[in-house]
Amino acid sequence: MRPQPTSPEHLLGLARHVLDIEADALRTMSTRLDNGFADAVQLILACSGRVVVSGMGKSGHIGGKIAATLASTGTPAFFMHPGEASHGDLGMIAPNDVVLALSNSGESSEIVCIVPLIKRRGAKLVAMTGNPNSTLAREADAHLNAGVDKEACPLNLAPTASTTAALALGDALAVALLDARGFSADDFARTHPGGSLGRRLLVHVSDVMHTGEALPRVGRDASLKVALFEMTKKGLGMTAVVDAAGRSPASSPTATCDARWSIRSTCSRRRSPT
Amino acid sequence: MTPNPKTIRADELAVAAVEKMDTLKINGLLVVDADNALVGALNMHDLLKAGVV
Repeated sequence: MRPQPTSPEHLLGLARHVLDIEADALRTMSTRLDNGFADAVQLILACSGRVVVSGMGKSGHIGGKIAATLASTGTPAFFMHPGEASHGDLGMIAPNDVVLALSNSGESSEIVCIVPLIKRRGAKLVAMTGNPNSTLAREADAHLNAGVDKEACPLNLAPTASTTAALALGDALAVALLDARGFSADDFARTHPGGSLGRRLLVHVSDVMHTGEALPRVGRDASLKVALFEMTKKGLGMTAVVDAAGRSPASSPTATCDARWSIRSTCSRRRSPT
Repeated sequence: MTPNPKTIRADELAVAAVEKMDTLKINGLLVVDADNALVGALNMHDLLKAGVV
């Protein structure tokens, strides 16, 4: 190891260099997109089972995120570790599933060795690799080309630009599927009930309103005293004023400020000499 | 009392109630059905409690 300077200028220069390489990688990938992408989308749309995402190392981490994104956007999916697959987890795959296998080289031994078993099960195989001539790409029913010219790592070794490319291509896949399925914001909310977005899209007036005994209401002929007692008891700071049938065209709420104003005007009228 | 009070329908989103109250600068709404009959009431505290604000 040979330590390098750590001045802000040097560090910012390096960061910009990395971001530029990764941005260029995405632009290049966009121009390289081919019908393999459309084939993959059609395969997944026709799939009645799940999308089983798999990958080793960094591809595995990206695969985990792709599975989560697919699941939350209308495509049931989960991640299967390729190492565990050959020790029993292959049982996670059913004949009507689609396996999405990620490997930048397309030659990761843990993945390549389970390919024949995936096929024997009858599941379809979509490969996302950086090499269309790799074993995995050739064996797949559809190939997603996530190839990059170089990594952002100065040694061209650590998966950096290639993982960014795979992550972005996974997003493109999820968005294409979401669009094809007509997935809406409401559908998204249904898988996010714990988030503020879910609450905003799922909670209706009927879920939060006061009803029955908790609903403050008085008749149109009720005295101000009765109305004030009703407001105090039900704690909404107002009461509805309804007609005999409980109909609303004739009803009106009496807000506490109206009541206070009314009391004050009454008191001042009493105090003023007539 | 306030004649012709501001109302909202029970099947609307709670967020719509927030927007209505915000626009009208009020802190409570009556809830009515399709026939304009009173079915409920809510105020800003209910919406805060539900986490939609």
